[in-house]
Amino acid sequence: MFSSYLSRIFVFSLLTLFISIQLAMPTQAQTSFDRVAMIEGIVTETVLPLHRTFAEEALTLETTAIAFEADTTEENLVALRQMYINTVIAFERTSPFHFQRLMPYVTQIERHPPNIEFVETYIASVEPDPIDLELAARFGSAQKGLPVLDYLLFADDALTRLTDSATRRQYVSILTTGIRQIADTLVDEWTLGADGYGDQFIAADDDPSSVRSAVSILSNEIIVVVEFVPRIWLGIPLGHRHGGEPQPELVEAPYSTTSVVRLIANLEAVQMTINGTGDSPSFADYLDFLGAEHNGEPMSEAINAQIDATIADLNTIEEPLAIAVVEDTDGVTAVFDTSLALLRLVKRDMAHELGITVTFNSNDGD
Amino acid sequence: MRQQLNALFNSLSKPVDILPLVIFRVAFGLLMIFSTVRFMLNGWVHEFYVEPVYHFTYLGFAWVQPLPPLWMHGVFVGLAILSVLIAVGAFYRLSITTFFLLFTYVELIDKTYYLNHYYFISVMSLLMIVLPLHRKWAVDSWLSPHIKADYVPAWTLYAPRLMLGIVYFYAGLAKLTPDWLLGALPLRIWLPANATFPVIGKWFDYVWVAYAMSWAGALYDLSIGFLLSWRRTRPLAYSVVIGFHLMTTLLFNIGVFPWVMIACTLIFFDGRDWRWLAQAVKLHVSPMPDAPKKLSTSPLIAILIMCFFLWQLLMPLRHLAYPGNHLWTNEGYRFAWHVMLVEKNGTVIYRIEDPDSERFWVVFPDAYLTRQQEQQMSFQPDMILQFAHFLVDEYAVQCECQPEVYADTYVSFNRRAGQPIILPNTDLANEAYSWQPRSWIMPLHE
Repeated sequence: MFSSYLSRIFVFSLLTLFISIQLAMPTQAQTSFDRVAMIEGIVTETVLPLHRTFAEEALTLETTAIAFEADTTEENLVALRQMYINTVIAFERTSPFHFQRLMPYVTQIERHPPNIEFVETYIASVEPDPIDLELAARFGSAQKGLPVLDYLLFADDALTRLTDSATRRQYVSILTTGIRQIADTLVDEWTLGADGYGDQFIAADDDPSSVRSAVSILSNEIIVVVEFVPRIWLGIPLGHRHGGEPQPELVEAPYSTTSVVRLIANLEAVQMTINGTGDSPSFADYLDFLGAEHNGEPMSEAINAQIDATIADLNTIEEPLAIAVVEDTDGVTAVFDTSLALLRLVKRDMAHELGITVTFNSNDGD
Repeated sequence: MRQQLNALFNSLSKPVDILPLVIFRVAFGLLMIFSTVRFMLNGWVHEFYVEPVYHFTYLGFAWVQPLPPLWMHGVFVGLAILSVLIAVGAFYRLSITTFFLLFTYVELIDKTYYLNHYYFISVMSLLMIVLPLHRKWAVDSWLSPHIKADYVPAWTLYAPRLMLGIVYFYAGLAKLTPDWLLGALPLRIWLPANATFPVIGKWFDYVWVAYAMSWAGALYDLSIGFLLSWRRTRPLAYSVVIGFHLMTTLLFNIGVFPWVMIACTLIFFDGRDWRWLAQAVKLHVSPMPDAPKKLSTSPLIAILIMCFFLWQLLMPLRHLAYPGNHLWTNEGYRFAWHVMLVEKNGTVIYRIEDPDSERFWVVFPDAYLTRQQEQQMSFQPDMILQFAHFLVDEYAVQCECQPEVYADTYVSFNRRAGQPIILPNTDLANEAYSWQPRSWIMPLHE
């Protein structure tokens, strides 16, 4: 009796609520935003093409390395170095998508700092014999990847040392093969329908209150990429952890002097992620849909303007960054400040408008 | 006046059926078992109390520090065992007292993890120490039949009801702000983030839905205590409680809070309701013996209860003693049932300077803090100050100087433009962490 009374009231109140909301619904066309289309668009139009470009560059890098191994000339080294830079830039453009689940792959390509001591000791111990490929497959992440390649191809006397040592050239080739293989794996992971991470990422948006919600994951990774610019790649060389004493040896790419171009690639990737590269609704469209504003202008425009300003400022730094942080400390500090303004914009304002703090915690929140 | 007071005391001493209290005890114990086990299984003991190198302690409680890792896990195992003992009514006074002490100890370790429902569990378990919840359907009453009772003084039933009423009513009062009522904030931010929610999610993109839910939420909080108290509206009110909290648990990441409230509000049903329900489902419940005319209560308990409720009535209002918007300054924000009122995001970067040289350091807090600690401290001035003092100690050793600490802060609050929350050029090393109004907080720019 009592329970039936209760359940009748409950059903009645739910029905009343449902009917009232239906009656109150505006009659015009639905104006909600298709987030699933946005996430699918980001994967198919931005993430996948960027990873395919990276895989293509990595394949060319591998081919060039093999050619250099067979024909060790300065001309081929120049070509190999250029391919390395192309690959690095392509890799940096995938940085907003280095999600936690994919980090085991990413760290095989980029792990700072590289273990130069191991590399030199290992090559010296093997020379003049060839490297055991089974052993090479077990190299740790600090013993391979792009940072080690940066050292082997660009350190002082690189051409002489590579010319003199077949083992050293083979080490280079092995690293390029490893990078190409992981690049291919990343493409597979992002290819939809292959039961890889791409499918899981899109499915994540079906669970809006989850920490794994795709919008949340993507926003957080954008924040991480932007934060690394001032905090790690400019702040540490500027000596922010060393009493203000510049630390030129701590720039990202001390040998190839490509530190600045990498940061620019990171920010360009963030910009592509926000603006989208195809016809699907973009992250910027989503922010506009939410009515997100910053100082009276659409937040998407404010973020774009601040990315442009940061890239423009980065372009004023004359490579090598290692010298700039010592000889033009004020100039690099000015870029640090501009990138900090960008960080505030994405970490504070963008996250605020997206309401991702409610999905940010692993703990409960009220 | 004297007559009215006598009448009040008489009504508080009149015998009432113990059944609602017993059901409340069992429900509370079961929920605490679930909550504690869930906490452990999620790995939060390690993440919150073992992993961090720094903890944001409460003012006056800096001495409350985490135990070694194994002991910390032991505390949670202990809480789970105590919850079982509470549910079955074994060694009740000792169990609930120890539960209160251990639970409150854990909550006092780090304000990063402050949640209204944790505070509610602390105060409710404190109140439960003086309630005779073990006098029926309990191991205690089985082992010591002389404590068995069918009737208890009415105040023992009214006290937890009043506590719940205070939680809801103050939560409702806290919603009577321009942000909540006129701006539908922060629901206007949170609802679109849930627009992929099945069936009703598409409506969350409409602003009017945020307004409707804001006003309904405020109305619910302000009225539900009264509606639950009145027998005629109680069944409907309780079905609304279930609907409301189920909705919040599906939409927001608020853990066991909705379940705590759904379980605890059962206390509003009195003995007659439970007996009627038992009859309806054909459960045998022994008839009530004749009630005694009046049940006495120790004057000490009466005074303690009055002090407890005075504290509960005043504590949530202490923000009125501070200048500015407390939702911005956070002064008087905690322990006041300010539930889901703000969406705040911030960034904090510290600059530490050696006043005797040109040396400086730039510190991003997550170099020391966990992600959650960093996120919480980035918009809470007291935590920003506490961490500044921690950095003073750290860098005093490193630089062998008395460093100055400046915080570069920007905070977005309920869709306002991001703005500094700490006055720039304030050397936080010189600012005391106290109850005094904090002059170093930037006023909110609307």
